[in-house]
Amino acid sequence: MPKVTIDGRELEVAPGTSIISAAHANGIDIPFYCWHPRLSIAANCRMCLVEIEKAPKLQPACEVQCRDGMVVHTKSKQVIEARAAVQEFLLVNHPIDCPICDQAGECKLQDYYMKHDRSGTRFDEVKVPKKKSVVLGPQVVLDEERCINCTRCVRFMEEVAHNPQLGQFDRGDRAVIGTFPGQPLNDPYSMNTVEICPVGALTSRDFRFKVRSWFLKSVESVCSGCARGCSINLDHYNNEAQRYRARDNAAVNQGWLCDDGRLSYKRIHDPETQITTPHQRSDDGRMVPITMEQAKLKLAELLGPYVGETDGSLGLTLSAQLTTEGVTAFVELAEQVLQVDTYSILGQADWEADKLLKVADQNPNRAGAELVLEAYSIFDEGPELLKKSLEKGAVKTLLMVGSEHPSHDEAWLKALSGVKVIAFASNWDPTSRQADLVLPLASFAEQDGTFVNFQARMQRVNKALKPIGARLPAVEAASLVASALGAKGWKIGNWITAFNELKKHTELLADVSPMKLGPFGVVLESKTLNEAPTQTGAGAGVGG
Amino acid sequence: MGGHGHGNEAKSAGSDLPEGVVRVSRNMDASDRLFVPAIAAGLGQTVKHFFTNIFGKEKYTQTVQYPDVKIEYPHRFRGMHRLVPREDGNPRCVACFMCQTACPARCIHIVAGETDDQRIEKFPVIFEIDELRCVVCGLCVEACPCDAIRMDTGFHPKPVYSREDADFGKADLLGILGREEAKAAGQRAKDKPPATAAGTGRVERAHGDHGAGGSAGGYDHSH
Repeated sequence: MPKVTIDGRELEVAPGTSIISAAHANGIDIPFYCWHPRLSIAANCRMCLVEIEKAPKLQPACEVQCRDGMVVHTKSKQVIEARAAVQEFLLVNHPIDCPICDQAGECKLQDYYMKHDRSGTRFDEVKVPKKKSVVLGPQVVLDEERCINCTRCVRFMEEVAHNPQLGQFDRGDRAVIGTFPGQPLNDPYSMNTVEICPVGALTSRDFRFKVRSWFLKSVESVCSGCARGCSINLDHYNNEAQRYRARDNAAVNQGWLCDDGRLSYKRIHDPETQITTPHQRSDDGRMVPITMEQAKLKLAELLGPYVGETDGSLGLTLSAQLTTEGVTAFVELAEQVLQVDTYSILGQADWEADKLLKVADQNPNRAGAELVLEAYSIFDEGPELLKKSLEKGAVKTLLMVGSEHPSHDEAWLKALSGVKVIAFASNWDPTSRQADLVLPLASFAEQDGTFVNFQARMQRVNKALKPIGARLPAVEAASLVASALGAKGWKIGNWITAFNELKKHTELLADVSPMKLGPFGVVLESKTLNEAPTQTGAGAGVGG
Repeated sequence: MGGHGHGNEAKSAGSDLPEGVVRVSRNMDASDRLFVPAIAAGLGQTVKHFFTNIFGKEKYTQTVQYPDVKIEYPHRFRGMHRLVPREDGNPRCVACFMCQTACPARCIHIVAGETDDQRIEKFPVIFEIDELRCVVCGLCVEACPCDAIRMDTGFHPKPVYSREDADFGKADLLGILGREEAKAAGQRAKDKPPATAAGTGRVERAHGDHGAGGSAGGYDHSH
């Protein structure tokens, strides 16, 4: 193990570690633009120059590996001067249009200018004009003037997306990033280039000009786009999700997100279809809004017959979009209060998996829902068997938690029309429109809980938004049903009590504490919850 | 009475007064303590003013007969803000949100949009100021990097009948002239009718402001 001295601190690092990694791991700050821990080293921005004793010139800390006995200075006069010079050089042709630049507020040029330069401009010449707002593809816009040619985006497309759609053209101060003629940047991972761009050169067409970055608040969450459960920062403003940013979770997404997943924040608030108040089917078949009190009375009327001794004709469907705790709360409700004989996990239809991150299952928590049913030794009928039960008349009342269904096809809707349906749903879809009583259900971003991804990794979902309207988090929805039915001794009031209740039923969670899942989650040991799709891309993609 | 009691107590323990603090005794004679003579004197003054204002030659009246009469504001009064137009009549604003960020009253609401004009790129689709919230502090003017918002009109926001009317939009804020510009427009009007600036309606609006029954009668240039 080489021993290296950085700023007088002796550090022992693994062989092959770069100086910048060793320094960052030990809390020593070295500024950088072009270096990215998951990409190959370009060493072209020169911002990370450090002084190495016995080396004739300053060396880039990203490229030079630690060797035994190396003595590095990151705060010497020479280094500080070099950083200021590099910073000044990068700003020579920069348009400084921060007021209209989306990156402002989270821009390295701004941060490092304040930290390492702070000088006025000495540049008397005319700046090189380049093209502004060049549309590169369906998701990305390029501003050539702002680009510092760090080539992070070029390297990402080549090394991670394996789809080299970007290139660097021309030389010197006329060098630009661009696409090839007739080939737009339309890779399904193209928005990662926006995220790794250290300046405002690449901006997202979706997020462009929407919110200034300093208004955003951020919580750590999990992308609900598919069963991969990529770690994200959910940025929100005005109680609306504004964008997802990837969070580097080595075991899950390595700091990348697919564009579909990144844009799946739009499912949280869809003003066209979102359900925010309880609705009831009136006599003439229309859905009319009602108050929560009326909804409770209706709940008692529809579910009252299933308390205590019943004919066993109540079915319960649980969406694979619910948090694990939400599923647990409703299963507990079935154990404690209601007599449920048919269970089914429903979810959205599969989409096309790809070789990097996207898996076919669009539901972020199918594994979690299955885990709960397994813990309570409950048989999951799935959509097909459930449909048969409905058609046979074995199920006469159906309580749906989440109205997702793989197809919403006619046979299913026809089967539904024969029974009483109570649906907790976030959005209007053919299934929730079919219900007799609809109650608003909060999306994952509006509640706390956990998701279990297809690799059996349990991750924490943090509440980012206040539930809009009267939307209820799933655990509170279960409490509402319990109170509507006048259940005595109902104790599951929040997601932690639900989690602890589940913990009593399964050994998998024996060592897991809900508050100690950390930013990256934990793997629930000795469990293959779902058949893992073929997956080589995620690991291979980050080789560099 | 209670007050006096306190005073006496404080006096007895008065040695602990901080340096430089002097205790002043309030000498009230018998008539002061009764208050009745003071009340009578005050009423007398009121009655005197009442009759003088009705029958007297020199009146005591201080009331200004607003809106027929207006007090001239100090020269440095800034007044309500306005958006400064470009030559084509669109606002100079590039929707950078600096004013919204600086605003302590959170009264500015901007929605940004994208234009095809590469020299501008970003512009405000909506620019609203809630005049009921605005505290006229001028921080938005300080923050603006392109002199797109100014406070040089010298008059108040007009009174409104509903809260919605107090949300001044882009067209409202663009339609206002600064004090100097309005003056210039007014002087021009004396020579000949001004050519209306097509598309902006700015000059027209300014004249409406001066007239009693103008379309924006609430705006009053009291310079």
